Amino acid sequence: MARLIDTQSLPELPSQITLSPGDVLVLQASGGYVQTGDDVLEMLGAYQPGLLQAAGTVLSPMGAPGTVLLRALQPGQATVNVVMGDPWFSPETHTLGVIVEV
Amino acid sequence: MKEKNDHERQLREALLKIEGVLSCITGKEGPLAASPKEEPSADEGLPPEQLGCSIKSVPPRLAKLAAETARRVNPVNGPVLGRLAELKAPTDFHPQFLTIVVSKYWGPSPRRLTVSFMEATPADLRARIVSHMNAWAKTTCISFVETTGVGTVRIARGAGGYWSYLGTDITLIPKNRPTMNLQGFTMNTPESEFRRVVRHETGHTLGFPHEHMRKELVSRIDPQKAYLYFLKTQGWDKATVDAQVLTPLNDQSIMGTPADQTSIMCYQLPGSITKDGKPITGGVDINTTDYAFAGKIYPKPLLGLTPEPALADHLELAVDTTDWDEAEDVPDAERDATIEATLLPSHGPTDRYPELAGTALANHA
Repeated sequence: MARLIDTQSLPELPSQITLSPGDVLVLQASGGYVQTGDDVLEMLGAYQPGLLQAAGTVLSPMGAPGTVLLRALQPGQATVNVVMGDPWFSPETHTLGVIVEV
Repeated sequence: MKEKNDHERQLREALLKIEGVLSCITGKEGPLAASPKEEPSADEGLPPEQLGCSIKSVPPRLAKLAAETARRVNPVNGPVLGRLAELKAPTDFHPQFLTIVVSKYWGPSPRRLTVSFMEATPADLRARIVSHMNAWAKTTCISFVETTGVGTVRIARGAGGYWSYLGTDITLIPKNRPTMNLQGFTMNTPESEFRRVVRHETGHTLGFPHEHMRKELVSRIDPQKAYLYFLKTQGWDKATVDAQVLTPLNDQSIMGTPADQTSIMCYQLPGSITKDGKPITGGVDINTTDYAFAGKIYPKPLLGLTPEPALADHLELAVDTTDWDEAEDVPDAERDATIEATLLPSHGPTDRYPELAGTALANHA
């Protein structure tokens, strides 16, 4: 069964992560992109937070995206650059190794 | 002697007008009105219920022009972020509709917003953050004070970057959630970052959107360069770049000063994505235009007079949209002259902010 994997509990990301096909990794970041292995790992997108209101509308704050979702596609290896910090002023890029195995 | 009499007559007329407004609200006649009148009132003979304050609205065909004029006189009168479009019957409104229902501004009355922190935060850091939030209070009637309870403004320092909900929207956020995020701020964070980030996010809390999304600045950006740049540096797709960088604010939502790339509300954008190769410099602190404009829409009370926050609640909003012949419409030039004539020379921006004398600011206010 695929998992939704939260990384908020860690003060810093490890340099390597092991996932299973179908897993979705939730990173607190403003952006990111798959550097190698895009057939192994897919970036679903960078997202802003949003809150559903009783009227059915969604309220979002002013600011850059704060969450990045990555999905493991099939067994293999990938590297992903995760962009953290202020995207307008001093973004920091961290490289993450991802192993996808059954 | 004649001058003195004229002065007294003008003073009495002014006081009568003020008393008239107050009597509309309280339902009581004031002592000035009770004294003998020099001229009969046009309202004499009408039943009391027809003497109350009713608000006349311009004919519907002039509603857009009226809104534009009101916004030119005071930017607070403009609707914010197009929420009017969400309403089912946008033409069915009374004259106060736009500012009361649509705006995310807090209004001109002095306010103190309480501030609390989501995580355990050292006292010195809490005080430092709140002091930077209060930088806006230099020219505005809005201030911030820390509370040990649950604040109106709730600050988190966890992951997710820097963000804040806009203006009065913060009141819609559940109490267990932050309204502002200042990722990783500690006492070791440089002072320059407190100025740049805390003051910027507090600007959002006051209702100010991003300055770099003004159409004058957006038009300087080459979309293809921007898509490529943010794809390479952030991995953002086209839709994200459109939303973050390339979609100008609706004219109806902007704040009234000319686009200002050194505003604290403007992000930094590199010259590699602009058409002219020059960067959009972005603001690193609240600048003089920010201060002056914020002071204009959140004015500090003058002469000890405090605006009455609940005034609108007491008004009877009977709307009369009686039309007249289109040929009688006031020409543009005449309308501009009338607006200009209402300005009091003793209340210009450089009178309230003498340090701004000689700057371009006088043209903005």
